[in-house]
Amino acid sequence: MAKPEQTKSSSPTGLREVWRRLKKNRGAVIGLGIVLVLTVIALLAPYLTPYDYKAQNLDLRLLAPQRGHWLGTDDFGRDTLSRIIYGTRVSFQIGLISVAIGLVLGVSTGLISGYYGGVLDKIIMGFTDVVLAFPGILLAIAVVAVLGPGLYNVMVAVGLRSAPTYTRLVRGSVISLREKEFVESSRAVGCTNGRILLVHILPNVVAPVLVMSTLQFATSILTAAGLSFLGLGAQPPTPDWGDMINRARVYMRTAWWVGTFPGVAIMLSVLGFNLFGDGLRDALDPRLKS
Amino acid sequence: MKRASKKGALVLLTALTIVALLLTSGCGGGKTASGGSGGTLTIANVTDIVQLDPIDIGDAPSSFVASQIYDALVKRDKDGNLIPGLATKWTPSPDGLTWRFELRKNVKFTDGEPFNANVVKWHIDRIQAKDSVPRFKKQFAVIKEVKVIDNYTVDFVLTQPNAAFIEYTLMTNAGMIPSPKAYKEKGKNFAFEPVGTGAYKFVKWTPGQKVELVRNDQYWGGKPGLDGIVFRNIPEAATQIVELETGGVNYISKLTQEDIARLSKNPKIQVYNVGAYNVRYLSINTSDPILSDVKVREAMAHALDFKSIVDKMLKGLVSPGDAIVPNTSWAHPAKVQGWEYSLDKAKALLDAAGWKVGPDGIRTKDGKKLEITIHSPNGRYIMDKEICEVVQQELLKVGMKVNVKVLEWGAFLADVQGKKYQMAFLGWAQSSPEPSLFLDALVMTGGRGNYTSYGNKAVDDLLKQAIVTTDQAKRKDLYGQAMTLMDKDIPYIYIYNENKVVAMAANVQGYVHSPAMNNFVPLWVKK
Amino acid sequence: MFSYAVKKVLLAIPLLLGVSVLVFMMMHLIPGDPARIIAGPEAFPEDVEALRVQLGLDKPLPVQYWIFLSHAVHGDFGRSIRSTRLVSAEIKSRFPATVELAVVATAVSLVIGLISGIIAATKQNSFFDTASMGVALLGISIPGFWLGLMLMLVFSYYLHLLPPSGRGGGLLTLAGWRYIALPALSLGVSSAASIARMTRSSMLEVLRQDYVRTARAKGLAERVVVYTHALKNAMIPVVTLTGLHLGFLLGGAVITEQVFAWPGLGTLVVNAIWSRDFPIVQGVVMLFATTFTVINLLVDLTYALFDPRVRYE
Repeated sequence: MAKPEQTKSSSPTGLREVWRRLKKNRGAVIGLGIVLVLTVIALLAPYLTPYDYKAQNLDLRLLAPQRGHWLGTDDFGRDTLSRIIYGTRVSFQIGLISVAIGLVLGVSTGLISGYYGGVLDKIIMGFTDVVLAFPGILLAIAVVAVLGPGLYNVMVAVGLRSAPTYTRLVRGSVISLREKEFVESSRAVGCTNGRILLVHILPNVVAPVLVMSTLQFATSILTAAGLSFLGLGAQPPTPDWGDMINRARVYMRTAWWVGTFPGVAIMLSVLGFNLFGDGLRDALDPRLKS
Repeated sequence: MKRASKKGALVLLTALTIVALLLTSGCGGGKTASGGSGGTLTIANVTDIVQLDPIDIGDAPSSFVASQIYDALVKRDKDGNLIPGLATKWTPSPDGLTWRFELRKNVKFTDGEPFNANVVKWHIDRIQAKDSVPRFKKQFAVIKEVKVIDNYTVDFVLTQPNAAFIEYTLMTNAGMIPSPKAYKEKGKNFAFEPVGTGAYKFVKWTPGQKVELVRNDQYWGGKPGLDGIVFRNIPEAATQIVELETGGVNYISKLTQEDIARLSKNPKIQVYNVGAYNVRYLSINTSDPILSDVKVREAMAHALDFKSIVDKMLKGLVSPGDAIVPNTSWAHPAKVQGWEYSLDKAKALLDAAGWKVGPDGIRTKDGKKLEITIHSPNGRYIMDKEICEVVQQELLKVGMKVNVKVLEWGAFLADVQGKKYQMAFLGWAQSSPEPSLFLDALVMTGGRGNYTSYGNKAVDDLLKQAIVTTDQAKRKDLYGQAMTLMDKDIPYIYIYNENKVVAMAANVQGYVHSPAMNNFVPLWVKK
Repeated sequence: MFSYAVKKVLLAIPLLLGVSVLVFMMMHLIPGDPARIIAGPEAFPEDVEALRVQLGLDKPLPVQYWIFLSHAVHGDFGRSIRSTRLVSAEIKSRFPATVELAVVATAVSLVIGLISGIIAATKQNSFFDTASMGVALLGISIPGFWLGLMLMLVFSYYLHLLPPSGRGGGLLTLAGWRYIALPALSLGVSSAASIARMTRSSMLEVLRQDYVRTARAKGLAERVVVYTHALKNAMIPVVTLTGLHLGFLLGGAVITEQVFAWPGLGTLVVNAIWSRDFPIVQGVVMLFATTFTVINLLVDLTYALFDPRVRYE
């Protein structure tokens, strides 16, 4: 897993170049488009929903898609469209927070592990190996079981699970950077380790970490949906897409729309982030594009 | 009940004996299936069996399978009455301390071992042994000694008179009698290669997948109709339905009201539905600072229209609950408390209790918000968390903020049994309509199913009196009084009584749907 | 190479020890009393207490861990506290189903992934490339359980082609294949998608390398260039990824197992978590961790097959 030669790519020309390449990639543009639209929906959710997402009306249970309820209603008579719109916000929360947890934990341990090496490195890598050897979904289930069900605990579980991957990625980059000239020279000038890490090394791992975070965002949404499927996710009345599909299972044969639309929503958003993440990787690492 | 007056107990015992004798003369077990035979009943079970040694069965799927393999001394008919099983007759002694059971002759276990009095003694001794599994020990501790009188007569000597001896002890899972020979030969493996006297005998268990049984041609109750029974483990409700409709199974029990409506129109499917012996309710922790105020509890009772909620969400799956005994019980009172659905009344009660509506619509008192958490299991009871979600919305209408905490069963139990909860969706199920099985556990001070911290001496006294009263009309009256008193204090708000619902392929013949038993002897499958 | 393998195996020991501590701690941190759960809500308190003592749950945690560990090193994970069945027997009866599903699903994903990945790479920017990569992206974006339910509806309910759930008699019978088809497909699709993507990008990279250009310049047929020179070298990241997927699937496909009532280890261990059946959870997780380590080792060793330049220190 040879890491690409990373120079400081955060200079203005570098950014502009990345953007130019990104624009040329059709998939990336579509992905970015989906991500932007979803972001807007997530931000403006309360203004976009035609109905209150938690307003029940048991007389309107399981209505098929129709005028007024374009995506039908669920088993509480709640408007599915409104719940999906509001659910965008929930999914973004899941993605952002669990990525942030994994990112902070993984990047910091990766930096320390890669830069200092030695015993510290051994301990950290030992720990990440243990976590990686633990079957992922079981780890997540166990974490949620310990902390109690609920969206935030799901985010913690998903975040913890992704941390070791960040650790490995960052550690690898740092090791290859550690002996580079600009790091050596900073050290010669008398920079402290902390300063070298934050100012000189961190910016150089931003690109791969950014790419991975985008893809991880998508994975988080899927994993959280899986945990919701097992009944460990959102507590009512939170309109979480995964939980919506979970509850719709029993209506699969009688009211297909209840689960189908949240499923499409998950698929679209995961697709968007995957496309964008791929494009970003290609743009940051141009060797793959001719 | 333990401290019941001896005299009363005796009268009751005598009455029960007469009933038992009457029944004995009327019924001689199942007859050879009429109409046809053959075919396999394939049942979708929600979870796999755990193990099949009767003395350690605590889960419904294992009990379901075991009840086809083993027999107990006493069985139930479709209305829940006690009828002869491996015993043909039972009589308590005048002092109520000794119960004499006459055993059925010429019964053999499927390994050829004969059934007799020594087997009964061996079985009870095994349950009571010091190092035995403690699952049913408490129930069997009422038996002081089993005396073998002759080959087909045993006496159970009790520690004290107990009117409900058969219901409490012999009708538990541990009351099913396995073959001593097989048990001794197989040791711990017996739990997975069981041998009994039942209508179907065990063939094979494929863990996680299925249990296969085959007809016991030597069955004492006549030749069973089916060639065999297969219990398949299919956890997913959606999968169960597809399996039923595509012929992979011909018996399922996990359905929604929409499924019932749809399947009822399918000529190839028959849906069976009957009220069962269970109650589901909101259990209120009356020691909670907010909920200790009966006005708050009454306000909730007025604000929750479970009758209409249940009618809209669970049509055909449940009947609305209105008492702590199921409405299938003879003790179900003609006139129940019943709280009129009225948001105005609820609001007035909360006002009177000092909870004033705050700017955000949530009531407050002394700077504290009227906010409670309701514990819900996750699918243990039909639509449990969904109902809680409706409760959340409905109580908001009167200014109560409700958080729903959906927990998996283990964590849920820990909170509820440790009384670390405010309100919880709970249930109680028994295999008989006997009211004491519900009231003594749920309402009596410190009853083993009473997590409400509620206790009322007057109610306790009525219950203690009722268990030793013989006349059913009088008992009904006493239980009615107890329920009326208790309902005024509102430790429980009733939600529904779950029905026993089964959807079967229409070509399965001879099925009798009953909440009390699963008798598959007369079944057969039409080609 | 041999000493490398030995070194790796030795390194696995502290790893497995770490996993054992983690799983033990986790299980005991989950709220809820196993004795209570096993006895059930209708049980009498006296029986629950007796059960707790019988299960050894009244002992201090470090003692319980020591008992567990000292038995575990001899391969004895004790008996399930719920069913009293030997943990090893419980695992033995379900591990074949797990392996079967994992292997078939991986094979499915490898076949689909490799073929579409290679074609996409050789015909870069063609219609096939765009279409197959589009489908692949959709494939990794679908929640697995949702796909599973949809497949069941289509193939079992509407088309009556395949049984909706359960397991047949292993892969030597036709029935075995009919039963495994849907779960393997619903698991394989997302793996297939990522393998296709990885194959494509890896191939593209290799095809631009000097030695491939040399090969082409020497006038070798394009097919020979692609399938011998390029493919072999492009395989390393694909092997890593496939190993990862296989390891993941051998770690129990919890959700797919539940949907298709597949009798594997995933459902066993999840149910064991819910009923606090510690010995089962510990035994199964240790097995998973061991499998994972073995697969990693195998993946490492496979590198040599594809790239002779790889040497093991």
